[in-house]
Amino acid sequence: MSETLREALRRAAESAPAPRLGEQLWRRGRRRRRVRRAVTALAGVLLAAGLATLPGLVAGSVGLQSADGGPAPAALGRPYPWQLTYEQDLNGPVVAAFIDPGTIYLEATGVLVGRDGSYRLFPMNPGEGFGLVSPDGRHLARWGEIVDLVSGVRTPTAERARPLAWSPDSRRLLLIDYQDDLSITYGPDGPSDPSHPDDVGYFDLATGTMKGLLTTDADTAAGAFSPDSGRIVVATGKGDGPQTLTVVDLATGTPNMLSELTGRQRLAGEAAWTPDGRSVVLLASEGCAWVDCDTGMGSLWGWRMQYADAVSGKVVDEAATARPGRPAGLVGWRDGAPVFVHWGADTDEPEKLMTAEADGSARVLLTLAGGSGALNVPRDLVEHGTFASHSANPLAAQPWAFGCLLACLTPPVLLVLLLRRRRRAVRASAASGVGQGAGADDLRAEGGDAVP
Amino acid sequence: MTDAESFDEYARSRLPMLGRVAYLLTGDAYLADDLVQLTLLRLASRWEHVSAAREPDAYVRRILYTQHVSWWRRVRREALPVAVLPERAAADFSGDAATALAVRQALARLAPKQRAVLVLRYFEDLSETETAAVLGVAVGTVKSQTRDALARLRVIAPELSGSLAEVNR
Repeated sequence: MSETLREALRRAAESAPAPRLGEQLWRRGRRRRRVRRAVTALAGVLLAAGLATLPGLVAGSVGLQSADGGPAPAALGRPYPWQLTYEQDLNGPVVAAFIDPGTIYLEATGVLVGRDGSYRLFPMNPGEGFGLVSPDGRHLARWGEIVDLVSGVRTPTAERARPLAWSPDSRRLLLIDYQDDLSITYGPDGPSDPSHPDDVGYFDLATGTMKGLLTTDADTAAGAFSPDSGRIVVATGKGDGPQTLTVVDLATGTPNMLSELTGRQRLAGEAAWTPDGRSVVLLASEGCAWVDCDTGMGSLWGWRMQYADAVSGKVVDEAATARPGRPAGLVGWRDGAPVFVHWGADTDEPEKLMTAEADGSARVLLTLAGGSGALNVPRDLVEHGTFASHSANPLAAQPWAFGCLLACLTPPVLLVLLLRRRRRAVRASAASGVGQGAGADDLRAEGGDAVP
Repeated sequence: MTDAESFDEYARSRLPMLGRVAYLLTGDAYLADDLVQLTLLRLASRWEHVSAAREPDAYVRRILYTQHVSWWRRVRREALPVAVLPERAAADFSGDAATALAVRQALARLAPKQRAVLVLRYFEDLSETETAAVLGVAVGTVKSQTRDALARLRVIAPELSGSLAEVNR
């Protein structure tokens, strides 16, 4: 080695001014240490939180249960807030639809469950109803339109038309076209009456035309197609008045008023016709009028079914009395027994799809996860299908969700990699003995004088 | 002795040597001072760990050199407004001061890693293995960097060729 170059470097270094030792160096170093530890802790927390959610993400929100016929009913889990929307990836025909409040849209959002178990969100405007799924699960009837869940095409019906029921063959939609004024005007004779008779009719999906059947007040109308799709039954009337049960033959257009319903009676639902087409099922409440039971003003002790003859209107009570639960609607017939969607007693209690057996007992077919509501199962599935449990796939996510996940996981991962690299380097320095041969003493030495 | 006291004692004992190494690496008194301050600051933030390992010198040396290289990476991205190319200083070998100046100017024109290799090898007198450990590179890299640095010195500072010729022997 050259003593000359060494000497030249030593001479060059001699002119170095003496560096200062900052007074606050130790304190600043401590502060730096605290910041570093805080950042590390934060990164650890973020990483732990990310890892903690992974098992739930993979397993889904509800465990799978055996299908219908087994000891346990099938179940539907809740969607993930970041789930794909149906417009981003169509998943029709569907096997179930419901509403869930726990999504990124903050408002209640429709959820569509496809035959492959995929979950898709159906964003809605605040206060908007979700709609009715057709018996074949392909269409969703909504206010003023029908959405094809396979192609995504939206077919308008009438601007202010509310769907009441699908025909069993999924080709016709019974609806009510509201004619009421949207606002009240105030003239010299006082405020106007916004109420006008509404049009009850059906929309033919094949032709895209609407056919009127009745013109009557139908503020809280309900209706159902007969099993052969040749007749309809509707309950119409003003909102605060008695409801009239009317059967209309679609071939002749002739209405036949069966009876006037009391406040404790209402049409059972979209599948209110018995399978033989001879009667229409009514629900009779015990303890309160339906309007009070639904709004919580009265206490529902129980309920029972009544069969109204489709020709004479004669009403016959079923044998069972005081059935438990709160029936939302009759949605189909399975093995001769009516199938109802039941609301939970409170918002946390899950909605269920249950048969109402003749002896007064009930059998659960499908359970919806607590917190979700407005369960809607295609009629074909209710009557002939097999129920399976489904849970949402967290990876069927909207693109922004992947971006957020990446943004959360990248900093801690980078930090861990950086720390590992640094630790490895320090260890390598120590292991190679650097600082021992030319260490403390040499560093203390003036300008390398101690170097041989 | 508290951690603060032990750190202070260590820093004061190493300060002159750190200053000289930093000066050779940066070629500027102010930058050298900043480099030393930053090195000691980082040392203070990890003092318990470093002092417990009983290898503070190795750690300090590594911080100093790596910090110097990363500084250079940041600074080189900044444009330098040079209207007229600086004149080359002609060395006057009439004395040690002129030699020192020539060495400093020559070092300043080397790449930072080459500069670091020369300082570690010929000022701190570390072996190739030790130099490689400090810089976190392979021994072969140290060899090639040393060779390249000396070759470049011969070109940019021919006045030092006498010293360099002896190095190659």
